[in-house]
Amino acid sequence: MLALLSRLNRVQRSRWFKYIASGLVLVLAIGLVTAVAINRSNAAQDRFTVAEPKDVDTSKFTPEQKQAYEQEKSIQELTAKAYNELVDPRGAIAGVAVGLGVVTVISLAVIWLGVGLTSLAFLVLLGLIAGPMAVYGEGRWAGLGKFTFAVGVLGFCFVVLMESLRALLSPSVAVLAIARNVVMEATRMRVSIVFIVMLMFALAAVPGLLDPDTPLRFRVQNFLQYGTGGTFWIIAMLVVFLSVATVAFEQRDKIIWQTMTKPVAAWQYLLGKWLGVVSVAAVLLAVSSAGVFLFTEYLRQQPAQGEMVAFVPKTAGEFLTEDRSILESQVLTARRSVKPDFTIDVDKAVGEAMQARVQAALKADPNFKLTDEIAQGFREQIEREVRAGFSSIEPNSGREFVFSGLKEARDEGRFVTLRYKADVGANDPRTITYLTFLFKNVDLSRVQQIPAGQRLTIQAPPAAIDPDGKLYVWIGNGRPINERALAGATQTVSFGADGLEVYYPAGSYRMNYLRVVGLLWLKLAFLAMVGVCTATFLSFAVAAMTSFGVLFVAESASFLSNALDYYGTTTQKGNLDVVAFITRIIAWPIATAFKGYSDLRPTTNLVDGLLIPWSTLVSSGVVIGAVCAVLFAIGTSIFRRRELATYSGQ
Amino acid sequence: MRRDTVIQMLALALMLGFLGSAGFVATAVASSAGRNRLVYADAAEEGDPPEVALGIAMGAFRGMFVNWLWIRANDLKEQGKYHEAVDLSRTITRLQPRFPRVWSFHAWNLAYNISVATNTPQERWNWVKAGINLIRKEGIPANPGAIELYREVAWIHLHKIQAFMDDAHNYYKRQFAYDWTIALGAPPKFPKEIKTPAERAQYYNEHWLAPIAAAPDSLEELYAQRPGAKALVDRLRKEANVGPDKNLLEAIEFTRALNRMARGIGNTEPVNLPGPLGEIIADPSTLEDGQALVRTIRKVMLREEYSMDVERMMRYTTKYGPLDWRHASAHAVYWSAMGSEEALLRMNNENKVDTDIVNNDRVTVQALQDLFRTGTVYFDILNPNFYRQVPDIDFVDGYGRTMKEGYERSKFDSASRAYSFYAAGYENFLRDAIRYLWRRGDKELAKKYYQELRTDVNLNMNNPVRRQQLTLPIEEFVVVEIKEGDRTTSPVVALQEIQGAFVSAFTDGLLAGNAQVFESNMEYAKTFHKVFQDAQNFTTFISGQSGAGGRLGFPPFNYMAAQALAGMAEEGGIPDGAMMYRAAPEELRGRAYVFLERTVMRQQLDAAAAEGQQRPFNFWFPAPSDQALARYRQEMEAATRAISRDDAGNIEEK
Repeated sequence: MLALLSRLNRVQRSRWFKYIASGLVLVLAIGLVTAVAINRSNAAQDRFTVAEPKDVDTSKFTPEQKQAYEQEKSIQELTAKAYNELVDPRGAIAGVAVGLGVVTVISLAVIWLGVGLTSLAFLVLLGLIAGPMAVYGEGRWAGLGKFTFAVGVLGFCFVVLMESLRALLSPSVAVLAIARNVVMEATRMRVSIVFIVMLMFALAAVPGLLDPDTPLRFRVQNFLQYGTGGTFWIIAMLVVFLSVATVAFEQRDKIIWQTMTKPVAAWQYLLGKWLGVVSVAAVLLAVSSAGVFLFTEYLRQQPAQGEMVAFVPKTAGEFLTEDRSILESQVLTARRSVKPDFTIDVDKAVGEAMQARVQAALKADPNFKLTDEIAQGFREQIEREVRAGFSSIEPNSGREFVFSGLKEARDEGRFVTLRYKADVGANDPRTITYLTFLFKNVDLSRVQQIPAGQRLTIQAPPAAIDPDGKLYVWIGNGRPINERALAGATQTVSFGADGLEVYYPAGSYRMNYLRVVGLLWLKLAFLAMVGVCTATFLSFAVAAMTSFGVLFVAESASFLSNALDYYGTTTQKGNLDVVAFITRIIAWPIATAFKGYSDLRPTTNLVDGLLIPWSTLVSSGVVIGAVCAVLFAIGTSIFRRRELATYSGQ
Repeated sequence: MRRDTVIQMLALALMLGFLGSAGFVATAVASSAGRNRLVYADAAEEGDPPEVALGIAMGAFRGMFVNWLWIRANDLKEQGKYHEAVDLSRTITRLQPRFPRVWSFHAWNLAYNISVATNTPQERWNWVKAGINLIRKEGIPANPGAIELYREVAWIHLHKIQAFMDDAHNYYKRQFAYDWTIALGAPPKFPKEIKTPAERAQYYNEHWLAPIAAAPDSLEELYAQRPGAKALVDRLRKEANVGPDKNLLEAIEFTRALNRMARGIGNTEPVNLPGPLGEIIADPSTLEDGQALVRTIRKVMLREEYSMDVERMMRYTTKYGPLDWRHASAHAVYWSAMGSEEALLRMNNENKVDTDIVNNDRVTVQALQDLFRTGTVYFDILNPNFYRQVPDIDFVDGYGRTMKEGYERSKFDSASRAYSFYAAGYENFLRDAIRYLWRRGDKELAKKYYQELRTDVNLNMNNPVRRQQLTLPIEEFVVVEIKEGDRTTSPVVALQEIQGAFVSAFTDGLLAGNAQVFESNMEYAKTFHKVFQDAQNFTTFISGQSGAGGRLGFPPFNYMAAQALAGMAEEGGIPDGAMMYRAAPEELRGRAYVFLERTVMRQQLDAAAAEGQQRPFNFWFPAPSDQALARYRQEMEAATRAISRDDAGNIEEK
């Protein structure tokens, strides 16, 4: 047996075996993807069509009737197209392709690392342990089986990729050699092992925390939130600890002497350390992101609320359940938003109001003199009022809002989403408020009972958009009692500056997900540089505390910035509050410095189905790269001046 | 003294001073926290989720963490990110399980705020149920003395499900009736000799609830008593892939409903569901074990899924009247009454101020008032879209007794006051009852309550005009109430009046052959319908989908009348239902046929006719002419159909 294993081991390490096996794996992968693509393409006949009415004779129509008929038909066809977009089975090809891609990459890595037998033995053992529990077990045992399997697979992928990384960093270049050492350290240091294990366990446990009784879209959003966000935080803490430890401990334990006595420049040393840390982060991010992506694709194929099977509603005659519709059009997508066009002539409105304001001032004080300063103050105040008034609706009246730039959504037949937040008085939760929505061009009207101060959405078909890309929405404050009048409202409704938006799909969720992963990696790269550079001159404890401080402040800078808007520095009597003033002086620059970083929010955008354009990724890369370069320069400068013989061992 | 010694002594003095003041402050803070119930779980108990241990481990940071969770949950809710808001709310309830307001706040959030953000009745209903379950299954067990939780869950039943404020209220009512038909079975029909409220309550207890109460407390106990039940369960699992759960109860109820329908049309042959499950249910050898199994499943389900006690349900049925547990207000009574009882057990002079028993009692009173207006439920699991609530006079006395009980407990009401809210409510209630009973023909009962209205010592003395009205003879009093009353815009009153008029028109008019009674009641219903519709009608997209014609507005009058006649004819079966139908005017009969032709009763009659056991459906319920029928179908469908653009073609699925 041992002799056989030894022979097999020699075979698997031979070059010809690696070439043949690699070829087979690639052919198999390409073949499977092609087969799935062909199968899905064949199945991708439009599920929804417009049935011609049998008793309508268009030849007898007048030109006006014919025009109206064509318009109505176009609306129906656009709507049918939008439904077909949502249920297009070709979308599932990407999930299969990514899954096969992951398997292919891991397989190739296993082949070229020469660990095929070991891997096979591990997977078989994993299957024997976890398989029976998952398949035949009930309740907790089934859960434990699936959890064990997930941890095993994630850990296996991580180990394979780490070994591959080590192999990639094997060329004899100083920077790469140092990076390779960091990679090896990552699997030896207890602190990093803890986080890696925590990551695998946490990621494997997240699916079990999903409540099957909640709508599918909530489960997907929760999984994306905790899977991506939680992953980022665990990896971020690992990056901080690893980047600080790898530099600080080497200085403390004098190991750095062995490196620095060789012809290794300070910048090479720090760059190598940074490269090693970000490489480990990239591997962890790749493994966890692939896991999250694939499980999300799996969740997508589960029945949503109200469905018998995925994409098939239980209720006859229903095209798509609301849960599925929202999932496909608002969550697993990449959307942009547009705000309503400001259709008021501000100058004219200000001019008219100015006269009235001046007259009122003169009436109150006959000696009133309109100076330039006072006029400017009036103008600014009136302009604020005009702009605020634009998004306010008096009781039992309405206004039309126009959203431009939606031509693409109409042409591609995509549903758009009106998202609104209405403030009513003091937003008393006991108040019942009704808003009436009328969408031009389509027979779509809504009378919605709304909770004040809460964001709500209405989906509109692409036919609601004009051919020139404008969406007209009439919003009434009250309930319609007939075709012309509203009733029942007692307070003004205000939408505020960002209380009305229309979202439209502008890209695919899958590419968006890739950009999200890219942004997360950029953030980790920044943290790694902070850790490496602070550790050049600080002890481990202090450097770690500093780096964690940067992490927490950077992530919460948006919250801090919003909080500072409400943080006053004066007492109720108008006197200066010294403590508050000092706090503000400290907090404001910190919040401002990190606001750009904090505003990125890739996980939040992913969960909300918002687009992260390539431009954001590129610009973030440039900015974070520049900051990293500055930190690197500072760290190198400090490190070069450091008396290692004096400080080491202290 | 050396400098170091001085510093040490100073530090020691400061330490002692701070320790002392900390002791004072800590005592005050702890008592304030206890008084305001701002306490955290400080010991992990068995069965507690891991968040509790995590919260305890946080120690002093727990408060900050919980505050952050609250802020974040509220922000997320306002942003419309309900997926995370719901999760955070659950975490907060686990970290602060002994703070009742946490539970009531989050339950209200689920049932009210989050539910209205969804666009389909089904999903709204899920959120409403989630809110109820949060309090019922978790909040109350963690805080059994917290009266506000009982009030909250009672209020959700009364206001969210039973009232008219939510666009999807019709859907909620039907689903609620469906769920409780499965949980308890359909209520037994009262024999004709059972007349008084007390007798009817006793009948419900004896024939509906008592068998469940007498069942074993668990399936294991049942199996120990009846090994045949275990064998039956094994057989169900093996042959029909059904366990001892809700699915089995649903199948049982369908079978019973089918057989009730069959008996109603004179068919004595049992009707079974298709497949192995139907065969097992129909197998006579499984009858006794099956009945015992069903009762045990019901008892376990009541306890574990609904957190309700069947003994208490029986007690409240005796106390308040024949509660139909398919009606949401019956549950409002249950929970509010239970809350008052639990609070009274724990009330003492120290916590009396904090125990808001008055508002809780008011919920009970309002629920009973609603049961008077709508407490008789017509619902058939075979036809779940058909649902009606009509007045139930059995709760008039129950309301009065409860009102007096609450009045005595209330610190805001006393005999020395000229005005009391309780009395004002009771006065309005009695006026509605008198008007309804008089118009319906229960003149003796109407006179009895009119006399009570005139002479009850607790009623208000502050309005001389209203007191003067009470000097009128009852005939004039009723006319004044209808013409000058401000109750026409209340949907509950309107429904009570309209449905009550239909009941009188069809039973006392058509069935009794009294054309004048029929005409006068139909005219009354029509007038009331028109007045109400003019004030209230509009369509929201939710209620438009459910076909109700509007949140507060009713369907067109002809539709309501036809639906009511069809329902009562189906209820009456053969021959009463058929007689009622045949006696109706042609137009009304034709419209009612549109509903009747879709019923299971028709299928059963025709099936029985095919086997020579019965006359066919069209014999008992003659159809109008083809032309007329097409017109009636169009008319009835137009009343409920959503707006569509079928002139240019319809989107359809391949």
